[in-house]
Amino acid sequence: MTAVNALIIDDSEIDRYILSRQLKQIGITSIVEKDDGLAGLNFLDAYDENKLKAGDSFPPNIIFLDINMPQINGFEFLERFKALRAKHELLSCVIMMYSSSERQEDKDRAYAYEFVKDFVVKGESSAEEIAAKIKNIQ
Amino acid sequence: MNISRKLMIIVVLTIFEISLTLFSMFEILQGAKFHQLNMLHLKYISEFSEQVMLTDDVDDLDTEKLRKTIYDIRQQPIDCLAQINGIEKFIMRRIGTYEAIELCEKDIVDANEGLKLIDSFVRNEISWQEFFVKLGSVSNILNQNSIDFEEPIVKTVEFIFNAMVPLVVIISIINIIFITYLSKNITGSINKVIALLSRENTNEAIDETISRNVSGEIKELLVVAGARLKEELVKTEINQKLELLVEQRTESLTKANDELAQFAYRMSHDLKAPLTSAKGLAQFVVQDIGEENFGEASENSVKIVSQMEKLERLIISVLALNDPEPKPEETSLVDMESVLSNVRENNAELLKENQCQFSGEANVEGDVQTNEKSMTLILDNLVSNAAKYCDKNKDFQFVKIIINEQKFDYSIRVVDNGLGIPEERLSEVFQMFKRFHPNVSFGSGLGLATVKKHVDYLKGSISLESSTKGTTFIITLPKEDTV
Repeated sequence: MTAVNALIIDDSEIDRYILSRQLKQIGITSIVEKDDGLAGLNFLDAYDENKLKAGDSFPPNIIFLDINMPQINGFEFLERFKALRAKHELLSCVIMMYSSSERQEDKDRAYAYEFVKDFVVKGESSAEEIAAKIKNIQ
Repeated sequence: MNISRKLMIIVVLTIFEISLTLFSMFEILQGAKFHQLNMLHLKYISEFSEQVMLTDDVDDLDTEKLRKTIYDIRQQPIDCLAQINGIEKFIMRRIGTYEAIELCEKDIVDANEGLKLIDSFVRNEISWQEFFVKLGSVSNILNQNSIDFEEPIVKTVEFIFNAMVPLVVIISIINIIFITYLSKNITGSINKVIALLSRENTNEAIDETISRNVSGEIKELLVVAGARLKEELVKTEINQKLELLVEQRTESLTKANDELAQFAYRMSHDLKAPLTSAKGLAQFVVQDIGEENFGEASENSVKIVSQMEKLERLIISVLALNDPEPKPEETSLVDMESVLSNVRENNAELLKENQCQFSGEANVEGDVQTNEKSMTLILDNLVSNAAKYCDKNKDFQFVKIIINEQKFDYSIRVVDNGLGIPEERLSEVFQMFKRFHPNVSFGSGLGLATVKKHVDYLKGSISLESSTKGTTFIITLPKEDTV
């Protein structure tokens, strides 16, 4: 597995903790957490500053994205991220949805973006399963 | 006069005119017929004279032939008398030509004399010479009758022609004048009605205008047409209202359906989220205990409890949101001071925790007729929101309730100097599951939706003004429902 820089965007502190701990269990240590789509976008947009600060740990190459968030939700994030990818060197960065939603409608809407590679339903995947999914999309 | 009566006069005049014309023609033809009969009469007299003149000897005399000729002569006055009618007799008496009828009667008598003469001769009662002389005399008399007959007939025909033709012409002229007058009259009436109906800026009702200015069939037509038109208008109006109602209902149902779908989705998501989180945490607790990492296990157990509490609050909020609408009889006279005091007490812990000062004033006369439960629930939610989302960066934090009695309604203002709601999200405040400061405090996102619902129950309205300086909710409750 190549080095994974993970970015978790979720408004639930506990869900971030759970995913973060699962990622650590499978050996991913470069993890950044953001509590809203807006915070996630700001983080990516401050590209030069973060690159300088974090070095190889930036930019993230996998973003775990929640859907229901108060300020900028997952779908709004995807739309804005599309523009941001071209602006910065984020073309190798892919997204894995991380949501409680099991609705096909939400899955279809997310998969409409070419950079969305998988859809993890919260509470349904073990650390090992997440590892397999990551391996699969790399 | 009604149009139909005027038209009837025209019809009567026309029938009279046609009748007179036909009568005149008939009489003129009758005159011609009498002339014909007289010509025939003369022809037979001529034959008779010839038979008499050509007889030189008594042996040549054919009495039967003479008798037959006299029968033929007598037939014309008989036919003439048979054809003449009462009107002709009346006219002839009035214009002094009745002698023609008397001449016919005389001619029959004279012809009968001739026949008697033949009978006398056949019976040898008179001599051949006497018979011959008398026969010549009869022929002359009959001939004279024919000559005399012409004059009264010509006079009668002339009279009919001279009298009837001008009469027909006069009646025709009257008829034409009357038709022209009526035509103008009808056109005038219609134009008058058009002018009346086209008139603008009149205060008089159209029904009264018609009743005062129009009469006859046009009035009747307008009344019937007006009634029909009104009926059609009412139908159209009802149809339009129904269409609008259907449209509004459809829109409202579609909206309700969308809201319900959204509600169901958010409910399933928000109910499931704390459960999923708790499940994940519980797995870690098991794992940590196994690894004797009791510190983390303990921390995660606390988090599980907080997730369960979150779930509990959410369920309570949903249940509150679905409280049945209070019935009018569930209102009572409520002491607003007591409501304010209860709201302060209900939120005491939260206010204290956030160092938020509460104050309330009720500028009302006596008690207010309202539903106490709804009123308390509205104020509780607004005050708890103000406490939860207070701005710690400000010198002090406050929430203030001011209730004012106005002429027609009560105005309730809930003012705080908290974080405020982002301007671009103001339109979403009363929607379910909307939270604007998720990191500041806990909440289900149902509080303001519940407030809105209970304000609606009380037939009131709610609006808000918000900035980073704070938020003011303004609730207006009508007096007629609350007094």
